[in-house]
Amino acid sequence: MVESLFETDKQLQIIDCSALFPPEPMERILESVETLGKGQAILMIHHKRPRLLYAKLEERQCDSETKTLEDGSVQVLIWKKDLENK
Amino acid sequence: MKTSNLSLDQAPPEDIPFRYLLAGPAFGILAGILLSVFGEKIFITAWSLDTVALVHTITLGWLTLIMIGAFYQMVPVLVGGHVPWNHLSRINYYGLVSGILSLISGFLFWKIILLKSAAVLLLISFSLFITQILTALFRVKANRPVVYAMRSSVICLALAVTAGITMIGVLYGWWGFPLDGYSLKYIHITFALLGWITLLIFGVSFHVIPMFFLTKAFPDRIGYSIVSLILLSIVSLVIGFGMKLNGTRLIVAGIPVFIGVILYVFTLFNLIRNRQRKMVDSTFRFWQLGLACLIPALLLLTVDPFRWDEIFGYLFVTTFLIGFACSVSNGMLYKIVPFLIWLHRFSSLVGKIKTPAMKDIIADAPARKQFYLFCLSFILIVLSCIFPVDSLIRTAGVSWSVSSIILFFLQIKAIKIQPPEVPKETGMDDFTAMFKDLPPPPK
Repeated sequence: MVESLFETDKQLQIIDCSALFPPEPMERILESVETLGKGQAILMIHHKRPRLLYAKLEERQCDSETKTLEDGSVQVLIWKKDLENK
Repeated sequence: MKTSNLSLDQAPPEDIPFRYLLAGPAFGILAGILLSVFGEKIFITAWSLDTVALVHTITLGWLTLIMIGAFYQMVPVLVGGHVPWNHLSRINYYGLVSGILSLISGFLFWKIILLKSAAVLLLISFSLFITQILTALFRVKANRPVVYAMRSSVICLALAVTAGITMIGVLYGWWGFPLDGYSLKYIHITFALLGWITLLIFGVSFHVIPMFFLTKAFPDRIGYSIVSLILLSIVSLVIGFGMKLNGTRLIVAGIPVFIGVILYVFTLFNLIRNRQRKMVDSTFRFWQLGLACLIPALLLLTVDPFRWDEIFGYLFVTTFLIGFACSVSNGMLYKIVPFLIWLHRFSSLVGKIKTPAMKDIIADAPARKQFYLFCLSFILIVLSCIFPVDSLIRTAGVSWSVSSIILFFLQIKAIKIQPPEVPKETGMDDFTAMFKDLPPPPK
């Protein structure tokens, strides 16, 4: 079970993309943000920073925060900014 | 940490990389035609202008155009660099393609006017490309081996172009130069093959192999060491050629590149062997072939300075250029083109319509057939180097052409894919508009 690096009281939907080939991680996340509601967030687990995803998240009115681990893998917290602030 | 969204915003319009990436296979078709037309004439001597024309069809037409397309795409997206004067990249394509065609035809038909126009066109076009990319690369932090490799590679391209154009001028007596044609030729080859082609492919693979094959990250320390070792050899070899050294002394100058390549192949094989998902697709097969050719190519290079037989020079060029560089770039086209199509045309539609997977954009089955045909062409060209029989060489040329035609049409078919129209969502404004002509409700 992945432990979140973020302190948040949001209900987290954990999506582990580390074993997905590009562009599947982006596809999975963008599909899931469409279903996000108030008080909910996605916790994306990935083996590196998803550089191309951030602009796509902005297009969909999402905000995100990224934390990088020592091995270069990352956790990205994603939420809808039009529904709420973090 | 809040993230920066620079990468995608600065990506060029899709037509810029596509035009360069498509030109590669088109020149592959031309290379096959030249081989099948000239037959055994190609293997009379490596100094013959027909041979030089063929080699430049592959190095400039196939490899350099694909690499330039990749640069325009990757510098903003992978490295976060802002490429200035993006709109000029389209015009530059015409300058480069016409320059390359002038150069090839100038060599083939021995027309000085064509070589002169090639020199002018290539000088202007390469200068623009090099200025654009170096400006972008020197504005970003060099905190990754890929940036170090890309910068070094473009500087080597500048030096290779300078040496090449100087050589044409010396050959036709346009100007004098303190070094003779022999030294200039090998300096040009060193900058072009070891610097421009090898450093770029190695540097980019540090980044894309982990991304496309889900391996662990390429260790930064090893990446920096490999690039530094290759640069050390380039400097030593150029000094060696300038001083007209030969035989064992040149081998000594090449030792760092040997260590670098062995380290690269070993590290990459290790990463690939331990990759997370053992999927084998056409890109993977092309990479396997490319890596398998690298060490034999280097071994053949060690024989060439002793000048026992030109066969070793031909075998080196075939193994390195076709076996390694063309193979790897061919394989990468099967990832880069579908990825760009998906990113530019479908990523905004995810969640609204069913978007195609990468394998729906270019299926693996025809790509696999093209891989086998590519392998057949490569084997036939290797055999032609050893047994330069006219019919064998011409067959190799036809096979190489057909392989490039399949690659070209698979890319064209993919680029023609357009996203479907997405049904417009009914917003509140539309809803209000529907009732705007209705009379107000009675009180």
